[in-house]
Amino acid sequence: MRTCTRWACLAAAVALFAPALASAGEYRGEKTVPLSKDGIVALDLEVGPVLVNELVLRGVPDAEELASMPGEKTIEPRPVSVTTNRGGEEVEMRLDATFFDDQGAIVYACGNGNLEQDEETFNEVRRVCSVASGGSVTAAKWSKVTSVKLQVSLHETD
Amino acid sequence: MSRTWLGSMIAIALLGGAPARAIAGGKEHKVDVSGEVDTARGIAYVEDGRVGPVLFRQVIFQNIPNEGELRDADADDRARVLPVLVLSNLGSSRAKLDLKLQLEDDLDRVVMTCTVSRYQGTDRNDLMDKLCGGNESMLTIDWPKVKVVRLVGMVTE
Repeated sequence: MRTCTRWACLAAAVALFAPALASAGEYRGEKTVPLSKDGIVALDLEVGPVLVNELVLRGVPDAEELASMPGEKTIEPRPVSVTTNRGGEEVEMRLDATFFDDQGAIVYACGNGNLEQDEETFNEVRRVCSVASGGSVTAAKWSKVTSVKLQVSLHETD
Repeated sequence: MSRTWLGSMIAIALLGGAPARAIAGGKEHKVDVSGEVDTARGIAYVEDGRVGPVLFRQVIFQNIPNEGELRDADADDRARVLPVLVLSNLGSSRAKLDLKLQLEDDLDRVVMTCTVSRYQGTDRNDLMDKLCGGNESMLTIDWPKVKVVRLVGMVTE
């Protein structure tokens, strides 16, 4: 028994798979991890062809320094991402880093939507937070950070 | 010429340069730290990396050969692996780094080496790239055999 004509079946198939086709090559992912005391945050977050190995928190004092630092002193965290694109296409990415305290409140957040990475390139180092997007935070506030969430959205550009 | 004057001249000649050299050179700390290389990811964490005011944390390797390049590599193909050093200067003034970075395989052979001579400000978790300038290279087939990255040399405060 035929349930549809050839063209009707084709139209139905197109309608069924159109959303998937439209989003082909687009990927999103996120991961929340505890903040490491040494300022290197291992992520191992795979988003499509891209592996976000880690965040390196530039400009951030370690726990010992932070404990002896005046609370009103300002810190300018400048996380950089270390990413590998294993795919065969160049990608354009947006990365957003959000730092939380133990109550889940946002202490600091910043992002960069203008990241490109060539195909098959290992360990590209990119700024997630610029001065414009990140600003500064007091040592007292930063000392409360316990976790960081990295959100990634990317698409392949061929 | 009096004996006192001559003695003074000799004393200045012998000792006079020493304080100047100490100020110009600063306190020196010998570096010999290493980390195990994860060749699949191109990342090595430096173990016990504190040397004087400097804490060596990690070496990240860019431009490492991918699976296809390793599979198809001829015996004499070369890869220009680009190390990036993650480090903190925990001191209160800049430090001078005179280092040799070398990659060693599982037989302790040195398969690539390059020299680094840089000043490092009092930054935390800074990234120092273009260490090897893209001129040094290694045999592509040697990359999977790499086990250790070693930093040897001197940190001067």
